[in-house]
Amino acid sequence: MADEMILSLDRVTRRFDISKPLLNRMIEGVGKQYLTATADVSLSIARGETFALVGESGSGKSTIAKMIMGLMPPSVGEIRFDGDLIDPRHGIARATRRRFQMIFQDPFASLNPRWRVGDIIAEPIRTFALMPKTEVAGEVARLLEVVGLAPRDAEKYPHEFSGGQRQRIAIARALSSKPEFIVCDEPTSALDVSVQAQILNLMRDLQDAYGLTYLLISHDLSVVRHMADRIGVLYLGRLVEVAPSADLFAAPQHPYTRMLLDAVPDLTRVGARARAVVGEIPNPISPPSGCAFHPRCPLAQDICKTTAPEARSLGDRGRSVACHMVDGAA
Amino acid sequence: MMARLSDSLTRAYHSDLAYNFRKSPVAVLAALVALSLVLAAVFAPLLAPSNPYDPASLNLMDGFTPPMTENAFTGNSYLLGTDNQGRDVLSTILYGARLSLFVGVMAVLFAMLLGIGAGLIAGWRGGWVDTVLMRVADVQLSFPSILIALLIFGVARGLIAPDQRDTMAIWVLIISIGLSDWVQYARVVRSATMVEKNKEYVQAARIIGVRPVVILTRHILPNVMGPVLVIATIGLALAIIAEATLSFLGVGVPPTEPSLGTLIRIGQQYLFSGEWWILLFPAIALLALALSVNLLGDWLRDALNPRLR
Repeated sequence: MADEMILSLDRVTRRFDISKPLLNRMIEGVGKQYLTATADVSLSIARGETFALVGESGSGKSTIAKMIMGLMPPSVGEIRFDGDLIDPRHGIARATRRRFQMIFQDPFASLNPRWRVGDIIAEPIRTFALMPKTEVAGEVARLLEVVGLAPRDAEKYPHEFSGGQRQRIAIARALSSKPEFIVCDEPTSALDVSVQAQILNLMRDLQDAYGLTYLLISHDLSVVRHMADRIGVLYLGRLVEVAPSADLFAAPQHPYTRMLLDAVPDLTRVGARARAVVGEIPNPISPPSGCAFHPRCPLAQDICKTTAPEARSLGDRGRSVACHMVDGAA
Repeated sequence: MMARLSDSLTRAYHSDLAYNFRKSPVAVLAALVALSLVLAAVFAPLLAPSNPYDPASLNLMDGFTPPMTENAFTGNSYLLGTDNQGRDVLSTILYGARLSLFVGVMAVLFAMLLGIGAGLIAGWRGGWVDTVLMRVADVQLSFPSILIALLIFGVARGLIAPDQRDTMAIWVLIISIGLSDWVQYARVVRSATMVEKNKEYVQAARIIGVRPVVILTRHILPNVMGPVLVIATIGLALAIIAEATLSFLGVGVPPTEPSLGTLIRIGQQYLFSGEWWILLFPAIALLALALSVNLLGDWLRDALNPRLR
């Protein structure tokens, strides 16, 4: 890919120490325990595209979002935003922080209930001192109009708005620092279906208007299909397949991706029963040996139980799959 | 600015809390009693018939005058009688309530400051900081608070020069009561902080690099103040009683500037010789003050508890 990469993750692993306290470990004679939330995730996101991460709950989507936002450091590997290392242990330059933002899943928790909407939207402007104090109110009014709310809403408190309106406020806050890159963590999953499309279309319009890059995190494949240019499929913290959106939906390669897509109700197969996803995601404290997916995989062979598959490129459209059973000819 | 203020006032009048208040006769009555006592105490120098702190205005011959009776020697008459030194009981009650309220309010503010600070830090940092702070709180809670106050009072008396003891007594009292009460605030603020810090609005602030001090004071503190105000109201009644107890035990404010507790201590010496008014009226004043503040606190707690609506 010749496009300019705005974000790159290089073999990022995040482990959480979930051990019991030292005293309990000594008394019960147990060692330290770790939960691997993401393992060896490498991916790049090009400027201006929408990259979607999909996966079941517990697959590490939100952990990746938090690491990219600098809320927690990776245990292994590094994250670079336009060349700058994102690692809270080393501190992140204010000039870099300004350039990325996040839209959260729950618009009822992402806005401080004691703050007026105007102050909420102005917080990034004030924190980064982007403009003189006298101009802040005007900018807030402009942002409110951009996201489809009225300038006088700045005086109100969040509880006076519906879920969809609150998500618009959250989007206005994310836009206020004039970012280039926005992580959207399940931006519509807490909203009514009727409102979801409005918010998604607003996000697309803003992307066109400001040249934004999105990392969209979702478990909703219809949302992903509507929004994404490229899709990465996560399973148990491992990236099993990355492919352009159209290719992925047309011809899923990894057995897990196929299982996910088969579970989606399809209008072309009216009457046929959708095949449910088989089994459950394993315990990330003691993941299966070899390929993490092998206990649920219909194609599993002996090699899958012993050796973890490396991601391999497929074709020339930037597609990659981590599976022993998928050959490059596909 | 004025528009915002009147806007907030209208909002406050129409809020659930104000509605709940108007519908609760106990709360309205308690608020009226508390408010009139507080006003009487604050404006004591204007309301009181005499200044009990001014030795020159006192006449020992006036001592032990019963309420609304002419004194046999001087012919003076007092609404609530006089005490052993000829001080007008009504005036000493007004000045005493002023002192009791001042000590109570300052002690609560001091306890709040300590408790909120410790609670915010423990809840935000977690880990060993949290463990250390909360173990200290546990140890402190295993002592009766009046014992802690006595202990601090004793230590302070040893440290302060004898000629300054009387002037410093009030501040020692405030610190003693405050130090024995901070634990409640710390616990409530800590648990509320632990809930709030994981909410997405805090993450949003962390992403743009807002400093932890600013996040704690501007984002989290306003969201944990509800329960703190409830404890503070009930705590005020407890602090007033604690001050009275300490003064009654003779370790509080000096008899020359009596608080309600000191007055009760003076009064109980004369109860069995028939001079009942010296004890009774300060005791009623203390009861009314503590009870009304306590009832207000109880109402506030219930009104802010969504499960009891």
